[in-house]
Amino acid sequence: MDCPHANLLLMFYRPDRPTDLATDDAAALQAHLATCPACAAKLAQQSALDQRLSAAMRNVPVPTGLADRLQDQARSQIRRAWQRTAMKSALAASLLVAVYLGFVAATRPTLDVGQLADAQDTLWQSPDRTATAWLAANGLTNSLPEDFDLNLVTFAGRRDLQGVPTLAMRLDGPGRQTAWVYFLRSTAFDTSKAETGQYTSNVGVKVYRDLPNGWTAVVLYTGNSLTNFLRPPGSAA
Amino acid sequence: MGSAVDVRTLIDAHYEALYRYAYRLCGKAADAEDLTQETFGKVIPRLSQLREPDRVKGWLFRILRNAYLHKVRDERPGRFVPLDAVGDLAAEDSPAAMAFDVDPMKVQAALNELDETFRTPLILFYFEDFSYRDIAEQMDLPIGTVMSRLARAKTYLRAKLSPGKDSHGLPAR
Repeated sequence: MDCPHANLLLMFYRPDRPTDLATDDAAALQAHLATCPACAAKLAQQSALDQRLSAAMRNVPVPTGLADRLQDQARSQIRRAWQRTAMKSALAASLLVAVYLGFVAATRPTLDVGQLADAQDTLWQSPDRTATAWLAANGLTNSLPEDFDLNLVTFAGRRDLQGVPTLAMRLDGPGRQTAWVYFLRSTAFDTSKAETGQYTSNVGVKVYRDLPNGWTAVVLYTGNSLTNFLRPPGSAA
Repeated sequence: MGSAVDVRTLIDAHYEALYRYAYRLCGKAADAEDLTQETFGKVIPRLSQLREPDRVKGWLFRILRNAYLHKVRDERPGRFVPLDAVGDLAAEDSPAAMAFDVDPMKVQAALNELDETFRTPLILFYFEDFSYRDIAEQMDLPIGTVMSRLARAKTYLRAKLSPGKDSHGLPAR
């Protein structure tokens, strides 16, 4: 390497940063500097000037309190960001609630009292046929535990039994006597401790397990026996 | 605003260098403070996007320069010394020409006369140990272009600050 070439590279060379130049150029320059006092002296002068220029360039007084002002600005910026996030979350939650309420309002059934009256009338006029149809619709045709008199049925549907909607049928006998027949699934109730018996002076309970189709029936009735709710002997089914 | 970089630490570590860089770019203390605030204001919401915390300094400097360029974009362009001619000026290599004292105020005056495309590499070179590659990344320029501009800007600055030169760094007659 000759001096003109070295002078060109010196323009970009920083002794503390030899990797600024390509490896080959840096190595060649260093070799030249080792043997050329003039170029080495120039590098020393140039480095000294660069250091003074660097110091002067960085010699800028920083305003008092700037750090505090920046920290305050950052804090309020972060606070505003959190507030925006919280507001967006609240809006999203409100929107979800509104959509849910709208969905519920749009899909709730319309109360049809005419249909209710028709159903009640049908049950009133033909309780046996209504009950037979209900039993068939719920797979209970062969699961009736006794030969109940279906003409006494005044209700057939779902009824809350200890918090669980349960298929149930009510029979109203003579003298304000009532029987409720519940049809249970083992998945809904543990009936292992349910026993037949006269539990109070007015109410008796009968439990029927292993009925067809896996049903268990529980009958609660007033009076001392179920006889008043059964079809009279010799009557047609 | 979850991030690997703590905001307080970020500000404490970089605000002085950023302010000085901003000051050297624009030459005014009030504008430099505005630029510094604007830079942190832009960075803080995006800290969670920072994948390489080691490169946060370069990121900050780059954002500050963009903010500065945006700020001056709509201003009337100043009258800058055309550095195309500076390459023709012979840099004096005598020890005397290299031994003058450097006045920070004169440095700023000289910087103010340079177009930003020459001023920025000069500041970054003398400022915070940025390599040519770092400067090229900051300015989205090929490294050769950066080195060329830097060489001309350094020649101009030395000539401008040397004793016995006129207002354009030319030898006094």
